Amino acid sequence: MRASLTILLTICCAATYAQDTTHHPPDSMKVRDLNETVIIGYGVVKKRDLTGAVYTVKKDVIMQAPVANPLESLQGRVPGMDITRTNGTPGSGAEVLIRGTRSIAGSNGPLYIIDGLQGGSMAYLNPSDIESVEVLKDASATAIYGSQGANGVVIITTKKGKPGKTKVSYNGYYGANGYTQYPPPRLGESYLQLRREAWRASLNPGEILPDDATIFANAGEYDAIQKGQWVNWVDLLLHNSTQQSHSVSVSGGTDKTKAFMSFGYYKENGALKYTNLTRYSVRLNLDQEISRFAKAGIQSQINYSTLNKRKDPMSVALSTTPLGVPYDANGNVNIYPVAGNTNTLSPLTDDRGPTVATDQTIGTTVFMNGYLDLTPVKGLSFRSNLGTFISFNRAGIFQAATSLNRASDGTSYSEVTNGNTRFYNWDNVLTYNLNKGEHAITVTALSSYTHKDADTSNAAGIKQVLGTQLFYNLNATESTSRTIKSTYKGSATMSFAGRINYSYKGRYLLQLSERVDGASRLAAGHKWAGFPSVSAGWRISDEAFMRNLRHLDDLKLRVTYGVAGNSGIAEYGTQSGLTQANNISFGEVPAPGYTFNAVIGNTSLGWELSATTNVGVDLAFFNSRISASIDAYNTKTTKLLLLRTLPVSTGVSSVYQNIGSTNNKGIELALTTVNIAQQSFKWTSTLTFTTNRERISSLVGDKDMIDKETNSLLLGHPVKSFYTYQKLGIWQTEEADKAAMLRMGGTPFKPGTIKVADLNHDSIINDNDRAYLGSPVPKWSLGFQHTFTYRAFDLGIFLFARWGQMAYGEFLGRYNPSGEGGGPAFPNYWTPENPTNDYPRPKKGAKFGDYAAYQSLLYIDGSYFKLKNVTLGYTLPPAVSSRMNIEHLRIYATASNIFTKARSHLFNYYDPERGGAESSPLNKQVVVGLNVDF
Amino acid sequence: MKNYFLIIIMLAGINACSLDEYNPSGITADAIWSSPEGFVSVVNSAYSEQRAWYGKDNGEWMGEMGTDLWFNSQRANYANELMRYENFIPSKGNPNITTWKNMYTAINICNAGINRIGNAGFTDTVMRNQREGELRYLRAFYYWHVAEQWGGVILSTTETNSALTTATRSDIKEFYKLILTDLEYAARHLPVSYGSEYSRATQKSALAMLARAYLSCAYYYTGSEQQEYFKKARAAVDEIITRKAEFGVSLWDNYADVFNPKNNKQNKEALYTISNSLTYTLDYDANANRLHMWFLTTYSSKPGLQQSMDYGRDGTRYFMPTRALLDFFDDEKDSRFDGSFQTVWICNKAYTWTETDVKNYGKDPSLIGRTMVVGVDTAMYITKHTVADKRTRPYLVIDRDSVYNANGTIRVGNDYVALKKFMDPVTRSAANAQPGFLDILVIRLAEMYLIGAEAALQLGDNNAAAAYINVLRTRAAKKTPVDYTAAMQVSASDITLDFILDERARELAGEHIRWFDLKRTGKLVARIHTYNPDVTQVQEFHRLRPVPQTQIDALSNGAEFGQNPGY
Repeated sequence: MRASLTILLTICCAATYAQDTTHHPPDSMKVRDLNETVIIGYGVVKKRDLTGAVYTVKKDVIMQAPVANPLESLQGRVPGMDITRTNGTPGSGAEVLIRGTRSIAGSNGPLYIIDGLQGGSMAYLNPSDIESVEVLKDASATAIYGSQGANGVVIITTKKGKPGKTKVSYNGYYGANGYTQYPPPRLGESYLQLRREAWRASLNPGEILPDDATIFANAGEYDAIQKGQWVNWVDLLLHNSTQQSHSVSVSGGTDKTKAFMSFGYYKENGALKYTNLTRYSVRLNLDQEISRFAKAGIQSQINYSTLNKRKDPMSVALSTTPLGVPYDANGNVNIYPVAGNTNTLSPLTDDRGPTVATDQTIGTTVFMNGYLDLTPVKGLSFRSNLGTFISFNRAGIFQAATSLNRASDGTSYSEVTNGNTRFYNWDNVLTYNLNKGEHAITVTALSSYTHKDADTSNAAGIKQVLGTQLFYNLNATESTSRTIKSTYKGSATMSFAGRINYSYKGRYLLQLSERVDGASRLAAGHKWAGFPSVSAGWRISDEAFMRNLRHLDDLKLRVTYGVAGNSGIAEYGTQSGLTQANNISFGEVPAPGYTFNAVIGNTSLGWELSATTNVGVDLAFFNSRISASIDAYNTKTTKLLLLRTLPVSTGVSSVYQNIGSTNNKGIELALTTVNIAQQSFKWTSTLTFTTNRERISSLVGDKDMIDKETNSLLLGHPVKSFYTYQKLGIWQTEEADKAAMLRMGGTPFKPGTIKVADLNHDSIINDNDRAYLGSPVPKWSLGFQHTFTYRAFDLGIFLFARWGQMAYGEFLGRYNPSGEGGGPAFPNYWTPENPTNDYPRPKKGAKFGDYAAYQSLLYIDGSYFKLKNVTLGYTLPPAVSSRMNIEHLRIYATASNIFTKARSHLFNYYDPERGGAESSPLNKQVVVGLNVDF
Repeated sequence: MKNYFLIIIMLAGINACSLDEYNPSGITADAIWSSPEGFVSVVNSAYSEQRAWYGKDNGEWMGEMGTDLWFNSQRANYANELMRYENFIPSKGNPNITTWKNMYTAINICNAGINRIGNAGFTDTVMRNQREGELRYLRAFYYWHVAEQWGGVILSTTETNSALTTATRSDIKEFYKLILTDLEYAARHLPVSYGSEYSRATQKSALAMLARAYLSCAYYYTGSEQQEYFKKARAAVDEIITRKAEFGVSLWDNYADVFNPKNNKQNKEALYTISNSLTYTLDYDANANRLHMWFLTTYSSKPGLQQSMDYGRDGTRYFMPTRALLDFFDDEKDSRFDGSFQTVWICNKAYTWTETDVKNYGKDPSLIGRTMVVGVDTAMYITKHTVADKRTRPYLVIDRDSVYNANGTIRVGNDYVALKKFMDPVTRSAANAQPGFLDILVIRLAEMYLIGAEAALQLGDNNAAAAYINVLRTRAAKKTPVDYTAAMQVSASDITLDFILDERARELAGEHIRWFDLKRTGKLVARIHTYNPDVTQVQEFHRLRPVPQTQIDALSNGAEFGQNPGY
C-alpha cells in the first residue's frame, strides 16, 4: 500500500489549494452558483464537480447569533449535523455529532481543519474572521483524512485580504444574557406539607402526627418557619448579565501582497456572579506572491482569554433548606442562613467573591500556519503547509474553608496548574491538473505528519490563611499538606494519500482516493491502516434528453462509498501500567504505593472503521429559485472500540477491545426557496431536515452489555440508550392487594409506591424487568430559516426542532421525599387524598434514590421546538451612507433562545436543549449590534 | 524553475518520523516491583482499600447496620436495604456495591504482590517473608470480609492481566483454607513490631485475625472438625494473651480510656489499627475518619446548646440505639454504659427559657425566665430510664418513654442516647467539620476475650468462657462510689451464646463488627426480631449479601454464576 502511494507521490497535477474569495451576498439571498468553489480535503472543486456530501455555510450565517463559539451558530443549519449547547456557563462549547453516534468509546466529534491545519479549536475563532465553513459528511469526502475522518470533517476558512481599496470594518454587539429558566423551589405551606406528609406516611399504627415543633426540629428551622423566612436560592443565585463582542478588521492589498488583520474582543458574564469569559484575539493573514511560480503566506492568530468559573451551586440551591436570612443588614451573605444551624451552608457562600472561591483559567493560544505554493509548470502545483498550534494554560484555584467546595473539610484549598500543549502539522500536497478536450483529470498526492504533546504541572496545598493571596502564594499553605504532580502525553501520526478526480464532459464524474495512516498510539504490528474511497457523479441535467425540461436548471446524482477511521484510542491505550495509589502512611511515616491502572492495555487494538455508502441528488428549478440537496446514507462501523467493563472481581475496571459494530442510516435534506423576489420585498427560506437511525448491530458474545441505566449497550438500539424499569404510574389505594402481590428485594409494594412493569410476569421486580426505554438521539431534527427584506429592513427568523429523543432529567430526581432540606416545587406526589401517578408518596428521612425502581421516573420525552433566533436589521440606504463616507452600515437587534416548547410538561421550567442536567442551565440572549464597513 | 522541482522533491521526501510511543510519566509493574525498594509499593497499596471501609460509611453500614443494636436516626428511611432489609436488590445498596469493588481491587493487588515477590530480588529472607506476610495477612483480611458478607463467591489467587470475563464460585470452605493458610504464614513471619509504622500488620494482628477466622470458620463445619477450629481459635486467643507483654498490648484500666482521644494513637489495646494523620497528604482520602458524627443526636438546636467541638457535628446522623442495646447494660454497675454513651449535655450557650420554648418543649410555665449558666447547668438530659418530673426540671429531659414505645419500637427518633465512643473534639478543624483524623481500632484486645469465651462455650467449657468474660467485666465494673467488681462477675451457668452476644454488644457496640457476629452465630433474624422490632423485613437469606448486579452483568457466564439465594 505504501509503495503504491510513493508512486502516487511522484505523479503530479494542480488545483489551487487556497480558495479565492469573492464577496458574497447574504447566503440565503442568492441563487445557486454552480461555479462557486467548495473546499474539500487538501483541495478545492467547483460545486458542479462535487461528488461527495459537502455542505457549505457562509459567513453571514455564522454572524447571525451572538455566540462565543461559532460552532453554535451552525445549529440547525447543516443537515446531518446535530449540535446542542453543552451548558450555560460562559465560554461553554457545543456538542457536535455528524450523522449520529458511531463510536462507543471513542470521540464522536468531527475533525476540525482551520486554514488547512488540524489541531485547533473553533472555540478560539473570532466569528467575524470566518469566511466559510464546509462540513464534509460522507466517507468519500472524509476518507482523505483517514483514521480521523469517520466523524465528519469541518473545514474552516478565514478571511483573506483583497487587492484594491483598503476596507475597515467594525462588527459588534452588546446585550443581555440571562433570563434563565429553572424549576422553582418548594416554599411555604407546600414545603411544610411535604414534610408533614413524610412523617404521616411513616407513623406506626395508632400513632398520631406530632406537632410542627417536633417535625421541624432541625437546628433553628422551626424558628425560621414561624418568622416566615423563606428563601428562593435559585433566584438569588441567577442574575441577568451582559454579553458583548467587538471586532475591527482591516483588509486590503496589492496584486502581490494581500493582508487581512483583525482585532476581536469578547466578553460574556455568566448568570452566576463572578463568572465570566474575556477573550482578545488578533489575526493576521498575509499572502505574498514571490514570483510568477511561487506564493507564500501565513495565517496566524493569537488568543488570550480569561475564564472565571465557579462550582455549580444549582444542585445545592435546589436541595438546601429554603429557609433563613440570606443576607445580613449590610447586604453581605450570611454563611449560615438559619440562625443556630452551623451545619447548613448558604448556597450563596461563593457569591462573596474571589477571595472565597476562585477558579480562573488564563489561556494563550498561538496558531501559525505558513505555506509555500509553487506552480512550476502549468497544471502542476505543490503546496507545503507547516502549521503549529501552541497553547499555554494556567488554572488557579482558591477555595476558602467556607466555600461550597471546602465546607465539609473546613480548610481552605489553593491550587495552580500549568499546562502546555504543542502541536505541529506538516502537509505536502502535489496536485496536477490536466484538461484535454472533454477529459479533465486532477491527481493529488500528499503526505502529512502530525505531532502533539502536552505536559502539565500542578501544585496544591491547604490552610492558606489569607484568601486575598488566592493561588499566588502556595508557600503560605501548610507545608505538610502540599502535593505536586506533573504529567506528559504525546502522540504522532504519519500519513500518505492519493486522489484522482476525473470528469468527462463535466457530466460524468469519478473520484478515487486512498489514505494510509500510521499512528504512534497503536502497538507495533498494528500501527498502519488504509482508508479507500470511490465516488461517482452524473449531471443528468446536461444530458440531451433532459434539455426540453425548461424549468430544470440542475439535476445531479452522486453515489459514493468510502472507509474512514475513528481515532478513539487514547495515548498509551495499548499499554498496561500502574498509577499512584491513594496516599498511604503508617503512623506518621509516608508509604508510597502503586496500584494497577483501572484500564488494562490491549496491544491488538486497531482503528474503528466506518464504511459509508451515500446517494445524493442535487436539484435546482425555476432559475434556481428552488434548489435542494437530498442525501441518503448508510454507515457501518466495525471493529468498534469499547472500554469493556470487566467483572469487578478481576480487581481492574476495564479493557479496550475492538468488539461489535454500529449502523447509522439516514436521510438529509436541504431546501432553499426564494419565495418572493420583488424589487423592494424579498422572502427566502432554507429548510434543513435530518433523520438518522442509529443502532448497535453486533456485540461480542451476541448479547446486550448491561451496565448502569445510561451506559448499557443494547443490540438494535442507539449507542446511548436508557435501560431501566418501565414506569406505569403510582400504586393507588384500591390496588393495594395487587400491589402487595408484587415484591422487590423481598419487600411488597403498597399504595403510594412506584408502579413499574413486571415484564416477565413472575411477581418479582428485579433486574430482569429492566428494558430499553429510549435514547437521547433524536428521531429527526429540523432547522427553518426565513429571511425577509423590505427596503432597508431585514428580518431573520430561525426555528429549530429536535424531536423523538428521550432525556435523562437529573433535576427530576431532585424530588425530595423526606421534605428535609429543599427541592423543586413541581413534583406532584401521591397521598391517599391525591391519587396522582406522577411521584410516589413522601417518606420520612428517605432520599429519592431509596425508592424501589426510582430510576423509572428519571427518563422523559426530550422533544422540543425552539425559536432559536429572531433578528431585525436596518441597513442605511447607500445614498445616505456614502455621504458619510461609509460603504455599508447595518444596525440590528437579535434575540436568541427566546422561546422553547417542550413536549413534556416536566420541561416547563427548563430549557430542554440542556438535556436534563441540573447544573449550568442555559440562558437567553438579547443583543443590539452594528456592522459598518468603511 | 529547476529549483522549484528540487524543493518539491526535498519537502516531499523529508516527512519521515518515528511512530514509537514515548511515555515518560508512565510506570509499569515489571519495572517498579522488581527491586525490594520498589516492591514495598505494592505492599503499601495493598493496605489502601481497607481504608475505604473502616472509619467510613461503607464499614459502619455493612458492619453495624441491620442488626439488633441500631435503627435509623429519626426513623428515617436512609439506606433502607441495609438497615431494614427493604428492597434489597443486587443493583442497590451502595456500600454493598463499593465494598465488593474495594475488596476485589485489594485482593488483585495482594495476588500480584504474592506472586511477584520471587522476582523482587530480595536478598534478606526475613524481610522478604515479612513483606509476603503482610500481603498474605491483607489477602486473608479482605477474603474474610468477602466470605462472611457474600459467602462462597469468587476465590482468585492470581493477578488479572487479561480480559477475564468469566467467573466460578468456590465453596466457603475453600475460602477459609486460603484465609487460614495465609494467616498462619503471616503469624509465623510477621515481626512483633514495625516500630513507628505501627499500623502495619504485625504478628499480633495476624494472630487476632486468625482467632477471628478460626471462630467464624468453625461454624461452617460440624462435629470434630468444628471442635478443632474452636480449639484453634482459643489457642490463638491464648497465644495473644500469653504474649501480651511481648506484643506491648494490654487492657486499659478503665473502659472509657480505650476511646479517650488522648490514648488514640498507638493505642495499647489495639491489635490492628488504621492510622490517620493530621498531615493530610498522608491520609487515604479527605474523609479520613467520620465515625464521630453518625451516632450523635441533635443537640445544637436545643435550649442552652450550640454546636461545639466537644459535642461534635450533629448535622449528619444515622444510627440511634435500639432500646435493647441500652438495656443490655446495667448502668448502675457497668461503667461501659457511661463509657459508651452520652446522656448529659451541659449548657454551652447562655439561655433564658422563653414562653415559646416552654410551650414547644412541654415544660412547666414556671420555668419562663429561668436562665442557664454556661459550663455549669445541665441543658439536656436523655436517659434510658423513666423520669417522672421532666416537666418541671429546668432543662430538657428526654426519657425512655419519649423515645421508645412500650413494645420497643421507636417513637419519633429525633432525640436519643448517643454513642460517644468515636467523638473527636481534638483533630477536626472546626465544630462543623466532617473529617476527623483519629486512628481507627480495627481489632482490639477485648475482642480476643470474647472470641475465647465463644470458642470455650462451643467446646463445652463454660468455666473457661466465664473466666474470659470476667476479665472484661472486672474492668467494666464501676469501682466508686460502690465497688461492683464482685457483682459484675458471671459464672459458668450464665454463659450462653446469647449472653456472649449481649456481652459483645456491651463491649464492642459500633465497632464495625456486630453484623458479622450475628451472621456467624446464626442469630441475625432471631435477634433482630426480638430486639429491633422496627426492622420487619429481615429473612434468613439476608445472612448473605447480594452479589452486585454490575458483577453479574459484566460476566459472560452471569446466568451460570448466579445470584445468592433469595435475591
